[in-house]
Amino acid sequence: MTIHRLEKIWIGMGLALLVVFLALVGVAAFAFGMHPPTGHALGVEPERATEVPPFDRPGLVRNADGSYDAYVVAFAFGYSPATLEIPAGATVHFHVTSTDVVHGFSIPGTNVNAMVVPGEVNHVVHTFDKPGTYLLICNEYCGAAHEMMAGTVVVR
Amino acid sequence: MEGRKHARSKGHGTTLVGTFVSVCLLGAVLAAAWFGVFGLFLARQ
Amino acid sequence: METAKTSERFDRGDARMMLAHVLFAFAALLVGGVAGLLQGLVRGGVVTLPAGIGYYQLLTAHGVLMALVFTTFFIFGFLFSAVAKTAGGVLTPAARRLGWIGFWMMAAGTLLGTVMILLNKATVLYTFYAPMKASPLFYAALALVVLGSWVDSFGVLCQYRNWRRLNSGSAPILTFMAVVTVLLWLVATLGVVATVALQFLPWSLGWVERIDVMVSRTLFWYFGHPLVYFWLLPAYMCWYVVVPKVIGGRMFSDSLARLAFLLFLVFSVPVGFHHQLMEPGISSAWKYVQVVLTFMVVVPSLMTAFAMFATFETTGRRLGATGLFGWWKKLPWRDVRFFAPFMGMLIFIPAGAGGLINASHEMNAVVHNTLWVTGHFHLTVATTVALTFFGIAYWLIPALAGRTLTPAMHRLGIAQTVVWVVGMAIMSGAMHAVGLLGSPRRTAYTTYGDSPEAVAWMPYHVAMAVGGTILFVGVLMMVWNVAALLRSPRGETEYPVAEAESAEPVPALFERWGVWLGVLAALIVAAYAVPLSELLNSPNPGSKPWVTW
Repeated sequence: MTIHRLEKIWIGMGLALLVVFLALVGVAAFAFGMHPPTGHALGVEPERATEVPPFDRPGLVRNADGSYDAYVVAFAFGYSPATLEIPAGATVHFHVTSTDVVHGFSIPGTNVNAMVVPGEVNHVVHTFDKPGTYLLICNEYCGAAHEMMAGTVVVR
Repeated sequence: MEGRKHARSKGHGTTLVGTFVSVCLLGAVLAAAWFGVFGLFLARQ
Repeated sequence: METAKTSERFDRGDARMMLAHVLFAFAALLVGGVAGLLQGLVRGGVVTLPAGIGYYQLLTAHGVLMALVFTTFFIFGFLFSAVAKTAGGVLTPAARRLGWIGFWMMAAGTLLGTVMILLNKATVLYTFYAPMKASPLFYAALALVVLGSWVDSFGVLCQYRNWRRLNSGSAPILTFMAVVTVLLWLVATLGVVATVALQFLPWSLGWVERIDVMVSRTLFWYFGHPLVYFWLLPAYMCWYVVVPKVIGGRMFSDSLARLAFLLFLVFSVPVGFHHQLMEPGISSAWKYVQVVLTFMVVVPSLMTAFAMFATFETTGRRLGATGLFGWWKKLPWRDVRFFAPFMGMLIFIPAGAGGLINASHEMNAVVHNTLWVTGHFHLTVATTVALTFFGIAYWLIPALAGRTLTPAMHRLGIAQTVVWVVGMAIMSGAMHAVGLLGSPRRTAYTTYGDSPEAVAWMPYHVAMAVGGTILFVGVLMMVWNVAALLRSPRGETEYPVAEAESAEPVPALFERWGVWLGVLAALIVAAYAVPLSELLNSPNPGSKPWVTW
């Protein structure tokens, strides 16, 4: 099977470009911690998520080092809590679960964009440098009122 | 025929330089788009 | 190397079965197009829907009819024509019978599914994610469509096996490519059949209380990614084998084209996680493994791009072109059999770029579930694949129906292609832009209580409505063209099959299917065994059914 010299060069260049892409996202994730969201099982039936810790008390918890843990429950068709108030510059670890169907958890303008799966707790982290009011929306179709499902993140 | 590297084996003396430049432009589009969004990702971190 | 019998007509019985597939596809395109138009107008704030039909019902219908029905029916019509034409000239009785059984099963499934969607009993979108629960009849409808496609697949393989029995040497390239496409489909659909048969059906019937959501998603996306290559490979068949003949040239490299197809067979499947990058339950490491494999499947497309340009350049220079790019002028721009697929190729450049971005691990967070993704697949399947399929239809339909492809038809076809590209550029362009701004996909009209960010998205949504309306005109034009093709003067239309540039022998290894399927199986196990077993063993009791619409 003959391969033209220029095609070999092209495929070589293409592979090199792909390797560069993979290296950049790989280093950003595994060396700098910029992973995609991931999480673990909740441990109880999804419809009982709000009966047990930590989702029995949704909301913000301030940590000793100044970071926050935000425990948010998604449901058709809203979030609990519906509004989060965060000081500017704070790093927030979001822990999200759903008591019914799969929802989205996205804050446009940031990289916060996670799937909320019933029976699982997803985890995504963000540092809110810029003050302002951010829209929190469900971007995963979840039913008839999906387009009304939103919350707010207020950063002061 | 095996191992001949050039299009001369096809007997027309044709070149593939235009092809090569075209795919390089294609690659440039791919790279530009990718780095653009990568930049956006980093900016939003 | 067997010469394709391009000057002989199709057997009329064969042609009827193939035409049934192709025409059903265009019927689905029309109905799906109506849904799409309404979606665009609703989201752009132009119309409100009357009572009796919801946005998400339309969206479900649009996805199912366009992405599953139009594609699958057209593809099998085309694949049967390809193996009939190049592997014997006429279908064996068994192959033809399987083609009809497959057609009726798929048609019945489509009708049943459409009824359930219109009755609002399956407003779950074409991905039907658990734990939203549709009527069991909807899942049965999906199963009927997929099992019908298996019967069609066996028909295609039957024709190949018959040829194999009677001939030595490499299979004709269109037949080879059809076999690869069908094998990919059979392996890919195992995932969706498993989740529908073992999870959704018992659960929706109430025999099982809970469903494992993450496992069902993983099985679906094991299927969902190779699905797009099932769409792309028939388009590549046209690009590699038909287009060179149309432009008066030859295939750049028969062996490399076959190799590209084998690489697709092997790398299309073990990559489903790049559709699940934002999900819990799967580690970043395993996601990254499948991201790497995803990037491998880019390579055969890079090969294809080179081969296409090389064919154009070689042919153009043979026709006397000079200079670095003079060969572009030698291409038959007024021939719709070239022009439509070429526009599909051109659009594949931004389409592929978007795909690379989508699969780039944590970068997916920028675009996940935004309209960017919708913009992306409207470029890939709804332009690259669709325009190529349209470009095939202009000669395939008359070839099957014993009609001619007239000069007027070429003009109508080119006009339709231009309208499509203009509409898509506006609509998909707006989708990509507003997606980067965060506007969500699969969402009805809203401004989230007049939130400033959401209000800022509206001009883009209006542009989407404009583009979508132009596209709907394009749908009407295409349906008109199909009807016109069926009524054009009787005669013979060529089934264009190019010969190879050089008579290089094809490596015998290429048709040792056991080897390639073995490599595929090994890659699937390597990519899925551990993370899937982790999901299966997860202490998640599962979800009860929900009907949130």
